[in-house]
Amino acid sequence: MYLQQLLLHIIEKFNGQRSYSAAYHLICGKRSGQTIQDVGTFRLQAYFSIMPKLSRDKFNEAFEQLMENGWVFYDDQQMLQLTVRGKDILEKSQPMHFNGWFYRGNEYIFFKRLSLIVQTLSHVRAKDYRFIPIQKEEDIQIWVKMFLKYHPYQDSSFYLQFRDEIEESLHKVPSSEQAKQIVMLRLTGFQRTGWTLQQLASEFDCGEIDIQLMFVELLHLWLDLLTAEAAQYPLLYQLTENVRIELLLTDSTKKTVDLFEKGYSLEQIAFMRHLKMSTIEDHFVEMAMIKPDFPLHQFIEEKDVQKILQVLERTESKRLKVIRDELPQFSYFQIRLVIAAKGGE
Amino acid sequence: MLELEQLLQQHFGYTTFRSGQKEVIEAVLEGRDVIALLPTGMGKSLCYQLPGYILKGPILIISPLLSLMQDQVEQLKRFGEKRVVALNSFLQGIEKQMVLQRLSSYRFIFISPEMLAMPIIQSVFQQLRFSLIVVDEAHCISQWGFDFRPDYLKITEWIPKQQRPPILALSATATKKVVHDMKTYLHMVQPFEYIHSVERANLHYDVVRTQSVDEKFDWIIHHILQSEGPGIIYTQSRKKTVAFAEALTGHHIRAAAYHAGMEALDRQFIQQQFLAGELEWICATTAFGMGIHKENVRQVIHDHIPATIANYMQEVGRAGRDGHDALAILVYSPNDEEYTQYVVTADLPLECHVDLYKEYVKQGENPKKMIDLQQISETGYRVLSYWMEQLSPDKVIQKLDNLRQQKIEQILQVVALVKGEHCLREQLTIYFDQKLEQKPPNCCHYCGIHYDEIIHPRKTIIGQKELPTWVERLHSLLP
Repeated sequence: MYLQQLLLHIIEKFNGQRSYSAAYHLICGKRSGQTIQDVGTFRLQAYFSIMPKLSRDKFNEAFEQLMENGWVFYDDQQMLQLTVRGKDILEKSQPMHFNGWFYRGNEYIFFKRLSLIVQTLSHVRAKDYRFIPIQKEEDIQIWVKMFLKYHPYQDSSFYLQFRDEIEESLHKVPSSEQAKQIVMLRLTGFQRTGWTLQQLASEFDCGEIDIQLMFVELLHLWLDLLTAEAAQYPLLYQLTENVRIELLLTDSTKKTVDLFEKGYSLEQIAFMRHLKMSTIEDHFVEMAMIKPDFPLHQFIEEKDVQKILQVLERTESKRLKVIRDELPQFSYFQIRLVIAAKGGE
Repeated sequence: MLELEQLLQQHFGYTTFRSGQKEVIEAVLEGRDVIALLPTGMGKSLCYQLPGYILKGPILIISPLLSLMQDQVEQLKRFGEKRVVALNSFLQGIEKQMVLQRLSSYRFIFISPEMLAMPIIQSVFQQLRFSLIVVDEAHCISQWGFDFRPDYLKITEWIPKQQRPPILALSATATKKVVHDMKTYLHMVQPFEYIHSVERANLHYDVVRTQSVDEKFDWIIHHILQSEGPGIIYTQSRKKTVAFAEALTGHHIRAAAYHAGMEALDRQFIQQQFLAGELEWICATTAFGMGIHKENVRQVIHDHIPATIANYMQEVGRAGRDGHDALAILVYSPNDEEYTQYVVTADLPLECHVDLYKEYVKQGENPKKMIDLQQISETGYRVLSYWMEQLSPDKVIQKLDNLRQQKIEQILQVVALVKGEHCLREQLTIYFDQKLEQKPPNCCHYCGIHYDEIIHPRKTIIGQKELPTWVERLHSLLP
């Protein structure tokens, strides 16, 4: 159900201009020029990469369910739209609070650290020093070991502070009791086992994917809070180290940006990097979308920008072809740059 | 020298040895090559762990499975041992360099056969003086073993023939043929052999014949509703594990599915819950079992014909480790062996794979592409590439054909065991070239068996887990 609500959100934002596959790539966080551009064009930052491991089968299943329920349909131009019922469902559903663009799956790093620390503190308090670490990844284990070494983790004052920070911050997270229960039940401690996704799904009478989505959403909200109020939660804030993505360009784009800033032209960059022009253009579109100081006017004059924006507004379309047909004097690349730089405004 | 018992107490907190351990350890300390066949759960690992505190120089443990290696490293760390390291593909970059530099300071070094074949490892190892080389799950070295791993044969190229530390070969179950292969491939010199009896007097075997797959399923559910666990159902597909778990939870029995496709965290939760007694039944593929140390499993049920007798022994062997009576039931329906055959040979490469491999090599491409293009499974590719490096394509086809025949042969042995009109216990001991001294009461379906004399009828149903509020949950984790 939660997954279907999410799909309704995305399909509504696409407004018939993208297929349902684009929604899949968005949720999985595909690092292609097209998906990145869609994020900017349709303001879908929140949902980018919120379920990197979602299988195509599971996704298709959920989508077919939407069709069967009569919540979406293809209009006479074969564009995917919400039905009246679909719109109604969406309006009545709780708003979602993902923040995928800044976390992209990294929220799990925060959770894994938390889970191993809670498990350790719980066992140390019970004087049981021979437990099997619940998180197997070496880098998580090393991180937690350093964290605990740095703090007096055997002191009750530390123990209480850590617990209080969890309790106080989580109280402030604007989310359902259910989502908080899910996160707490995914933790384990001395003589306290965790609940599997399947067990949570059957308890809350929903699908395993719904549980995963609620889990990720809560982590996003929690991480946002910890970042905003770092001073109040000094211990938990440390767990957010390198979780939030501040460098938002993809690696390859970053290289192109560096060359561009050194003064090379598109053609030169394509030649130097052994990449196709279209790929380099994708990089520029990504740059236009993310960098506020992108020099758009090196590629198109301001009066032309206005022309494109007017057509955009009039046709209410973000399909390139529609705009190009009206303004054949501009290249696709120019139009894409304008949409990327101004699309969200 | 300190008394062995004293060391046992000091490092591991036990006061007495389990049968076989002391004999094996003493032979190891004398510097002899040793073959030790001890059933799973009988403390095989202690046979090299304890000598680690007596012998001078690191002990090298070669282990076929990452998960097994991880389990053993964790076990040692839990006993407070810090000088332990696992060399596997997860170890990368600077960390790997650091580990390799101070390798001689470790007491226990675990390694996978793939890593052992790497030139960098070999050159580092040349500087080291191991006090003992342990080959864990040594049956994997033999193609007669139920778990043959071509990679394992590479060990034999590495092990020096002269002037080498003693070798300890460990396994749970092995026939004479397999033991012979171990000795030959590992170049062992007049090894001391400790072979634990496969006979488990507290295990009682039943075979139940049903007419259809549906009837089989219903029989199992009905049986579980009548009797008490804890227990494990072994089945062959992920889908089936879910079907069993759903049917049981539908009857308010605390059960869960377990298979390799689940999230790692979920798999651990299930193991923990089973150990803690919160789950009564696990419905699992054969992925479940390794590293599970639960003593009081009362029942193991198979809904299929296992691939080999050794597999079957290993799986039923997880019942009754506490020494109390336990029940092993195999339920089958007509033609079950055909499905097993399909499962077991599905990963074996075919002639067309050999041709494809040849073609890629000819065109100067990496044949590994076959995996990405989904032309072959990863397991299949591992077997294929090993043999393609060893033999000519014609011989490989022949080899693969042999392997297929052997696998089918092994299934037929299980079929004979299950369908034959003989005492099952006796057949099992004969298969492992041992002798049965005495049959316990309620021996097997042939000798006569009454469940109510082995396990308890169902009286209790474990209540469902209570759902705490998130604050309650937090305070129960961190009181």
